[in-house]
Amino acid sequence: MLSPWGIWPSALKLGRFHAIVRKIAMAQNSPTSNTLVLGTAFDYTIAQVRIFVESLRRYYPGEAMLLVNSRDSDELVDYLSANSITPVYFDSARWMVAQIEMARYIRYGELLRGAPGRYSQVLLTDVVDVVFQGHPFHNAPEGDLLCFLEVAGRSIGDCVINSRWILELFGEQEFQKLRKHGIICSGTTMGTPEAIIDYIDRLLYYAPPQILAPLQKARRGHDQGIHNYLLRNGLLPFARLIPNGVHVFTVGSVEDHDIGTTTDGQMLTQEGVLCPIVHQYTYKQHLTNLVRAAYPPALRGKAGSMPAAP
Amino acid sequence: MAMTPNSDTAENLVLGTAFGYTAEQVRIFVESLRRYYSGPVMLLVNSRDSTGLLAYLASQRVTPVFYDCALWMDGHISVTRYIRYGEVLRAAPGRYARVLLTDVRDVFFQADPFRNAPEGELLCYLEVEGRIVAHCPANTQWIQQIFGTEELLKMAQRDISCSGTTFGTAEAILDYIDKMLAYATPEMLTSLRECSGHRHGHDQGIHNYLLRNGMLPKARTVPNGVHVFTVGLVSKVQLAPGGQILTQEGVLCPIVHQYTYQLHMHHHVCAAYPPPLRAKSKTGGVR
Repeated sequence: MLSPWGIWPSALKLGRFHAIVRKIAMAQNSPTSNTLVLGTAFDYTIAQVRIFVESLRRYYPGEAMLLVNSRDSDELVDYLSANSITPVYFDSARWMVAQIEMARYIRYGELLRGAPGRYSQVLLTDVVDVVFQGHPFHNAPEGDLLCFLEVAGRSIGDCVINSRWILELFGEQEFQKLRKHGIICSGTTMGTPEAIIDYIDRLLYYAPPQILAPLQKARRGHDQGIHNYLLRNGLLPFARLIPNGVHVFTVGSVEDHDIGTTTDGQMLTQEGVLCPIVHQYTYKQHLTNLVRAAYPPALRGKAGSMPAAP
Repeated sequence: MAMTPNSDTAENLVLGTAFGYTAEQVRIFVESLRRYYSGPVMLLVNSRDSTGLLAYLASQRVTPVFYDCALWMDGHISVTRYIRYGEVLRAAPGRYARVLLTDVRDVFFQADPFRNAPEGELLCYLEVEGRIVAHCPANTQWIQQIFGTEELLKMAQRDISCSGTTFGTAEAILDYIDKMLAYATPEMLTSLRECSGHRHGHDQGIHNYLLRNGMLPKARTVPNGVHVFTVGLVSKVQLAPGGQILTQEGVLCPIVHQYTYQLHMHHHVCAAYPPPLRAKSKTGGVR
């Protein structure tokens, strides 16, 4: 396919990039043992991020960052800070010709490039519909880049939205090639920082401003269209596809009777596997109720969503 | 002496943009700064910038701040840089006492920029005395395209303040940035894409508008040649040993701006900052 940028971005010349990363890391003498959870809380309230944050902090003491903007409430920023989650300001998104679902990757890439050698593993994750049931990095499958499949048996062609993303970005011919493949969810992706940066660069290669600008009012989520395109065309050589329910349990399209639950609000696969990360639980009301019951809001002056600062 | 730091441990910060530059284009800025100032320095870069630039900045303890977001924006980096500056400062409350926002390629230092700075929470620097908005086609265009002819006429006789260097407390700088961006909206920047004339520099139009309409109550305008010497249109300067540029009266300002606009000044400064000896020159020969 012809490059939408017209050129192969220099950032994709990986050997060159990795060389400079190593050079800077050596210059900064940085440690290499930290993990990072990276997500986006842009325009969210505390109520929308609370379960993500509290469940993460129940199992994971390490570094976490969430993108916010200066229009988000001070309470959100204070709440994140109180939970040792770094709020990363991303006002830039307002000026970018990209929806936040795509723009977030650009900011993620900047953050990771700016911290060469600092992290050993990175989890990119959605926030509002994710809950943790274990340490997200412990016992993770091996692999430089882990991409997580949705429910088995459901293909791109079975989903109107996934189909549309592929069609809008890559056209009918590519859609026909991909339509029989299972859906890989872009909501959670895990890997080494080098592999994640490479992934982001390749994702953004197909998302230049001239492609994204006309899609600004389209259905959100084109990142997943590119994500599937890259994986099904062998453009992510470091990637390993992980079936649903192995490390991440993406429950949105799983039949209700295939999801086990426990009295303390956890969700299990049909085989009884407890995954450390559950995604899309908010797609099902009974799961939402289950998780909310396990994470009741703390007593405050006002319950639920904190009011925005005047 | 200048402003009171907002905490005992606060540092100062020099913040600029090296977006799309080579190491050679930032070398004099960095070397002259490091000659007098050892504190934090950040320069905006993007992932397409040369690896040589990144390695050079790392070697000089200058933090490269990746700003690929700008590649997805309609506006020119001369305006969109303020968005990232704001993000950087907002993320570090209380960390910095005073901040210098500065151009890079045409700036060099003759002393520590934070020492003996004029008092004031926000310092905005005037260009050469007597040069007013109406005298300058670029400044005229920037104001007219953003604010219209009526506003231009109101400001036409006012002196020009240069947005290339602005100095202040972190709080005052953040307030300045927020006000600047309130006018540099995405819609405004998109509309400027269609305009003819000078494609970049509209930040200076907003800067002067804010200043002349009392919208920066903490601001103090500092005449040229007191702390910053903006020499682009200055006809008489003293060229001193060591590449220094003094005002006609012999004042040495810690910050010199626009020295690259005049060939004799450019040569004078470059001679004081010769490129390091390398194994091979650009043409391949051993130097």
